Amino acid sequence: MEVSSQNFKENVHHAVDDENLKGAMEKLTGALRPNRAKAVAGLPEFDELRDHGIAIKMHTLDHIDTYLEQFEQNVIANGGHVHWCADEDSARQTILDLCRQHDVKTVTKGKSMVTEELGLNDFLDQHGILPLETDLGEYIIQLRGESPSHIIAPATHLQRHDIAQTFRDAHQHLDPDRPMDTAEALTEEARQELREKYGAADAGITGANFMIAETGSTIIVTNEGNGDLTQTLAKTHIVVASMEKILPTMDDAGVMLRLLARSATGQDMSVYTTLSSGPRRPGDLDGPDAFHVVIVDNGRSKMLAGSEREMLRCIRCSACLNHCPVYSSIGGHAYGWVYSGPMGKVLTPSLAGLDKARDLPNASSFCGKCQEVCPMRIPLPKLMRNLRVKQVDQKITPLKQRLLLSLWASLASRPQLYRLVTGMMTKTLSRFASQRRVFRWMPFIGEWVKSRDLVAPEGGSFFDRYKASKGGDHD
Amino acid sequence: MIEARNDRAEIFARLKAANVDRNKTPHPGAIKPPKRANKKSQAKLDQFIEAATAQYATIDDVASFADIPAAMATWLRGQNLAQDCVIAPILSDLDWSSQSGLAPRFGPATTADMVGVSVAFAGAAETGTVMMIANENTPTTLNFVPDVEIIAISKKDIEAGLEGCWKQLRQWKETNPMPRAVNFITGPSRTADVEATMVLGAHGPRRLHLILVDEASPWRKNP
Repeated sequence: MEVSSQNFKENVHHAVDDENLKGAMEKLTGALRPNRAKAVAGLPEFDELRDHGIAIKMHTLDHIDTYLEQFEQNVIANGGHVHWCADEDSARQTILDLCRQHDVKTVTKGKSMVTEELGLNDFLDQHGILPLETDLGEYIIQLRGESPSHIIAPATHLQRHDIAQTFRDAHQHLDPDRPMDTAEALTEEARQELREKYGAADAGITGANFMIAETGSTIIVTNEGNGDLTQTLAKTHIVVASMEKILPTMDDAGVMLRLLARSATGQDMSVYTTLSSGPRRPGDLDGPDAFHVVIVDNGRSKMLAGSEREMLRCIRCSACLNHCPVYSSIGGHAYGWVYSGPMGKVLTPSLAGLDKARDLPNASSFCGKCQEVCPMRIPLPKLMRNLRVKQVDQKITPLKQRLLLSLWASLASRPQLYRLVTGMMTKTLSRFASQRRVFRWMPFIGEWVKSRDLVAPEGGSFFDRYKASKGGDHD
Repeated sequence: MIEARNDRAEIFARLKAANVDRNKTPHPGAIKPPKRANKKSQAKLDQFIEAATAQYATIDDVASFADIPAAMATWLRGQNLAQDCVIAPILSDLDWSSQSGLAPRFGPATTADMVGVSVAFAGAAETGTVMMIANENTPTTLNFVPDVEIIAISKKDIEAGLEGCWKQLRQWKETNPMPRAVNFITGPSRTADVEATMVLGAHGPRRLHLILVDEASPWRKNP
């Protein structure tokens, strides 16, 4: 998918003025935040499980080549095939070749963020293969020609009336006066539209939440059942997975499943968790005839070697998005790529390039909520800070900002000068403040003070007061 | 077979290089299952029923597998559902003709089938989950295609948590190949993709009806 994170600032302006988006975001966070809190409270060992899960991930990343190799051997032993793709071009071409090899004209798809990353739908479409998204949210945004605005709730930027209009436009063979004002009616309509499509598809493409080395299985976790219909009813099943999804054993997957469902939707267990291990066996009455796993690097090995390595622990639960004050104000599209919210602020610069996403790591108040709710305790604020340092070092930060930062650095590293300047600033600000002692206007930060109160300083700088209180005079 | 560009060697070289100088984290071993996944006998069964019911499954309880046709016929009538059903061949030995109303067919499900019937390989009390494995006697489509899914599970196969399910699967694998599909199912299909409102029956079954059986399941009788 084309990266448009360069337009972040502009996108944010549109997003914060979008009342419809605001309503949609309130519905999302209003549901998912309390759901997670309740589910976590119901499992007193949640924090222990997190630590265990982190240890599994760290161990796996340290031995990732060994486990991927074991996975490959077991997939082959199960009668499947594994394909290795270094970048998006290679992955797209490999999937296209597989489609041609199996004479595929139509494809049904389960929700897969890595295929979004690859821009797979457009690519297949351009090469005469018709992809059809089957997850309800993905189906809606595919009809609208949009990208997902949330990693597990792709159409979360829309409200009922938007979706009703989309269906009215797309399903013109249905009665135009049918009632479409409930979530039930819309869900039912999509169900009926997609029902016959699964069996008619030549291939089903799904992602993978995890891969298990021990058994050569890929795992998908869904609530709708569309992923299972996709992979069971099509003649060929193609799994596309990024390589950090690998886990050593089934028991390890059990730990991750407990963390994933609770962190994502606040369920103890998602409705469907499926291990797929190869094509249909002799005598089997259903299931695909062929099973392929396309393993995608596309920047992960670079992350493994670099300072964003901890980000590879991410299990894509979306808790950081759901709890982020920035995400819940601007929605997912403003971020300009597949991954949004705090995880997107680290993943997009890491995978798509810092030069293409320089504003993302800066768009954070560092409130720390993302790290707090992350089941893998990924230090997202620290990683964003690293990326800020990197972009200054690599001169990606605009010159004006870099000059200001150097000025600040030279001031902050000279205590005498720092005290003199801040002391003067305090006095000046205090003198020019209005009667209300609040600034409504300020050079350079006019936008900031427009919606917030910048209170005029009173009674000297912190250092003056600290000095005055020294010697025991604490008040 | 068409050979696409193969990046295997390149990828593995990069992965090895990235890890070459690292202190390797040891594997933390198996977890001690959480307390809620550690219940025994009756408490475990109660927990299974409570958790499955909380996830919108309905529950029936019979003494033996032979009781299933009658229990099913009664339930389907009570729900005002059609008596046509597609049944996993693992249950073909039961006396289905005893229920004159039932119209059974054995095999995989198609979109025309309203009711599917199968037998769970194991279950997890912790979350009210049933574990299905695919083979010639238990087609996967039964779990996903029909509007109504009926699953029989022997009480003896209900494990406290996921750990027990993995153990059962490992045991199975000792004498059988890894099943093509293993499906953990917790309640009927649902979505919350429209305004974060939960709706049952997204693409999979609208209802999940579990029949608990005292007797050992056919999975364990003739493996």
